[in-house]
Amino acid sequence: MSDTPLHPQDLIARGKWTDYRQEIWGDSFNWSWVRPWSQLQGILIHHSVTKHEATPDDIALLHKARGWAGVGYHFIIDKAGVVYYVGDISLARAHVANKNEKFLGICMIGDFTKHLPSDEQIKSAHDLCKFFFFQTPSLPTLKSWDQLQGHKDQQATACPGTSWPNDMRNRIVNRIPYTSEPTPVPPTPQPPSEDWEQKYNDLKAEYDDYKTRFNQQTQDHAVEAAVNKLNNRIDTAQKP
Amino acid sequence: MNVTELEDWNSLTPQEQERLKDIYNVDADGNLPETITQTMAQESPEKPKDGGSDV
Repeated sequence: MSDTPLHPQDLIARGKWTDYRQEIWGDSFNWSWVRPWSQLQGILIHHSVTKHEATPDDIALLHKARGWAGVGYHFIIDKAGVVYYVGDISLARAHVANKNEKFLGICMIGDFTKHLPSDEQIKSAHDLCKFFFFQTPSLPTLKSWDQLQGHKDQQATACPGTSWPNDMRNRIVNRIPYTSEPTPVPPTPQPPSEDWEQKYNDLKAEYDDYKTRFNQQTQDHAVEAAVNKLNNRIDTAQKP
Repeated sequence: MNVTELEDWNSLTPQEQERLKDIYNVDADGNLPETITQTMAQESPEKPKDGGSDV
C-alpha cells in the first residue's frame, strides 16, 4: 500500500486542501502501479469536461464506468478552489496514456472549451504546483515552472481547454486570477480632534479675570472720583 | 461514444447513471460529448512494457 501524506501549507492556510483518498470511490493507495520518483518529469493539467459544479465523486463515476479501479488523477480541484488529494502520488494512476509514470495529474473541474476556470481554481492550481516544484525536496526531479504542462502538450486533445497555454498557463504560473482584486483604500486621515470643552473653560477663565479686573478698576475710578468730589467740596467750604 | 459502451456502465446504480449523464452533458441519445470522448482516448492505465523510463 502506498501512502504519501502531503501538507501543502499555502493551501491549508487558505482552507483549500483535503486529503480525500479514503473517501473517494476506488483504490487510491494501490492502483495503478508504483513508479520510482526518478521517473517524474512534470505536472499535467487537465479539465474534467463536466459542468463546473461537478464534484470529485462525480468524476469518479466516469472512471468507475470505464472499468478502472480508481480515479485516474492524483488531484482534483473543484470550482471553489478546494484541492482534493484523490490518488497517491507514488502511483502512476491513469491520466495520460503511455506516460502516466512521468506526470502528476491535476484535474480542474469544468469544461474550459466553454468557460474559464474560476479565480479560486487558478490560485489553488498555482499553490499546489508551487508546493511540488519548490517545497518538496523529496521530489528532486520537480523543480521548475517549466515542467508545468497541459494534457494537450503531450497528446492530441483539447484538454485542458481553449485558453491553454496562451492565457491559463501564465495565470497559474504567476497566480493571476481573472478578476482583479480591489486595491485596499487607505483610510482618510482625520484632523486631530479639538478639546472644545477645555478651550471653553480656558476662555471663560480669561474672561472672568478681565471682568474682575475691569470691575475692580471701575470701582477704583468711582472711589477716586468720589474722593475728588469730596475734596472739592471741602476746599470750597473752607474759602472765606 | 454512447454511455452504454462504457465497459462497466452497468456497475453504476440508476441514480449514478443519471448523475453521470447530467454532469457530463450526455445528449438525449446517451452520447458523451466529443470533447470528453477525445480526452478519454488519451487517458488509460496501461503500464508501459518497459516499466517507464527515468527523466
